[in-house]
Order: sequence, then C-alpha cells, then structure tokens
Amino acid sequence: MSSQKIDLTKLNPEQLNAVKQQFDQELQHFTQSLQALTMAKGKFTECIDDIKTVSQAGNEGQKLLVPASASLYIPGKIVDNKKFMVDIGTGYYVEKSAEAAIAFYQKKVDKLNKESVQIQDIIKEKTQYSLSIEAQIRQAAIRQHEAMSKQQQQQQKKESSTA
Amino acid sequence: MDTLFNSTEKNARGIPQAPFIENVNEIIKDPSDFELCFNKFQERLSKYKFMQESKLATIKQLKTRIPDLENTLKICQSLRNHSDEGDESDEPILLHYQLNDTLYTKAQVDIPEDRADLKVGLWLGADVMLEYPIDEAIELLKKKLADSEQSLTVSTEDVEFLRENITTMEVNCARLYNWDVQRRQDLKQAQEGTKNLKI
Repeated sequence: MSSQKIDLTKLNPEQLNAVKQQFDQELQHFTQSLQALTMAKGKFTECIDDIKTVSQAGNEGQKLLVPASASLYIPGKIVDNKKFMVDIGTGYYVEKSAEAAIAFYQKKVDKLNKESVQIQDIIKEKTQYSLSIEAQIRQAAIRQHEAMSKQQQQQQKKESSTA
Repeated sequence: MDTLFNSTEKNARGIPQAPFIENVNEIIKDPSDFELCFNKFQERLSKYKFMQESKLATIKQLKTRIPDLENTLKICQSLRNHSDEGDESDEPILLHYQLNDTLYTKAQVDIPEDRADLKVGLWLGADVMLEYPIDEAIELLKKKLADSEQSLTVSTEDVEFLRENITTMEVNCARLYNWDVQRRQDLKQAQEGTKNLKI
C-alpha cells in the first residue's frame, strides 16, 4: 500500500467514486487470481488421485486403452504401475516412484493453499475498504444535500426580506 | 437495382461477386431511392463480413485439427511398420502416455501374431469412438487428412475472395454516401439561392 494516507471524510463524492472504482478493480484482479489458484490446485489434486488409483496392487498389468494422441487409443496394459514420469517444468521430466510423485504434488498443493489463504485475506481487506468508502460516499452525498438545502433556505429568506 | 446484384458472377462456392458502381447517377434515378439503395449495399456488406468471420473460424478449427490428424497418422504408421519389421521383432511396444496434465506413466502394446489384427480406437467426436483394424485406420486417417487439407485450401481461397468483395462494397458504400452528401449540399445551396432571389 502507498505510504500516503488520505482522510476520506475530506474527499468529495467524485473523488470517493474514483477511489472505490480503483479498489473494485483490484478486488476483481485478486478474485481472478484466486480462481486460477483454485483451478491449479484442483489439477494437482487430480494427479494425486490418479497416482493412487494406478498404483493400487491389483493394477499391475491391468488392461486399458492407451491414449496415444488426442484422438487415438490403442489396447495395451500397464507396465510398472509404481513408476510415474512427472513434468517438473521448463521441459524437464523426472521419473519418480508413486510415493515421491505424491509427495511432489502434495507439496505443490500445500504451497497453493498458502497462497490462496494470503489472497483471501487481501480480498477481505479490500472488500472492507470498498464498503467503508461506499458509506463515506453516502455521507458525503447527504452532506452535499444538506448544504444545498441550507443555501435554498437562505435564498428564500433573502427573497422574503426583499419583498 | 436487383438486376445489378444478380448480374455478377459467383465463385465456386456460390458466393456472388460484389458489383462495382461505375456511375452513381445510373444506379439512383430518383433521389428518394437513396436510402433503399444504400441499405441494400450495407446489407450485402454485412453478409460478406459475417461469412468472412465464419470462414475464419473454420480455418482456425482446421489448423488445430490437421496437426492432430498428422500426428495420429504417424503413430498408426509407426505401429504398422513395427508390426512388419520381420518375424523376429515380436516384442511389445513400450510407450509413455499422459495420465493427467503433468503426469505420465508407462504402458505396453502387445503385437498380435497376425500383424493386420492389431486394432486401434479412433475418437470420431460427438462422444463416439470406433475400433478399426490398423490398416483401415490408416486409410481413414489419410482420407480425413486429405479432406481437411482441401477444406483449408478452399476456405483460405474463399476468405481472399470475400476480402476483395468487402473492399469493393466498402468503396461502393463510401461513394454512395459521398454522392448523397454532395446532393444535399447542392440542394441546400439551391434553396439559399431561392431565398436570396425572393429577398
């Protein structure tokens, strides 16, 4: 956050609206980030489930249709259901045992969980800011309305005194 | 007017060519026909644009599909050739396949004694997968690939044709619009002239 602090009670409604829009934009950005993290976490969780399923004792030599490409399937069977190749990024693949692969993905899930919590906290904070600014906008509008009412009353008094 | 639109030739897919307005005065005999005429040209222009968007979407889809077909065909031919590499190479094929987004594992494909008996499943779309003998699968994929490539050529050709027609129609609309603007100005000047005469 910027080091400069602004007294919201001294801003006019237009300025308050601008600040609120800025907060809403940031809020939307963080919400999208949270969604992306949730999706990634879901995928990694799926990988863990897949590893657990394939590495069950009865699945050695299990028959299956091998997805050779996006639209080609070949009848085959599982070989060595305890070994998995994991894409660790930047074009590298590492063969891991089932336990090591699960640990790898669990580590990723935990990291994403931590980041999700951080983003959720930020979202709550900015939501509160946005709500308080909204309240300030209403108060500022009321103040403006009262000021205009007083002006009108004074004008009426002047007119009546003139007459 | 309709004669003008219907007189042009059509390309191989029945897309009519855009007529070019040589002389606006020949098209619009009566000034009150301008709105009708202009709207017809605008309508034709929007049809061309809509068709262009449709063709571009087709091209995009084909450019996604063709590499997949080529890849699948290559795999099938590799299996077939492996099957034909002599009687001694009867060993199963080992391959890694994708279990999930970032996860791969091993599987093996047994090669039957009769090489042509190897069967593969092809995903045809619309939740349909059919099993084919390897030779039939190869033939089917070759045909699909040829059809897709021809479709791509045809669609690309159509997009070029439509782009030309869109340009022609935009020029037509601009000339019609300018003609109308000029006519209004002339009319305005004539009216002012009349007022001056009266005064």
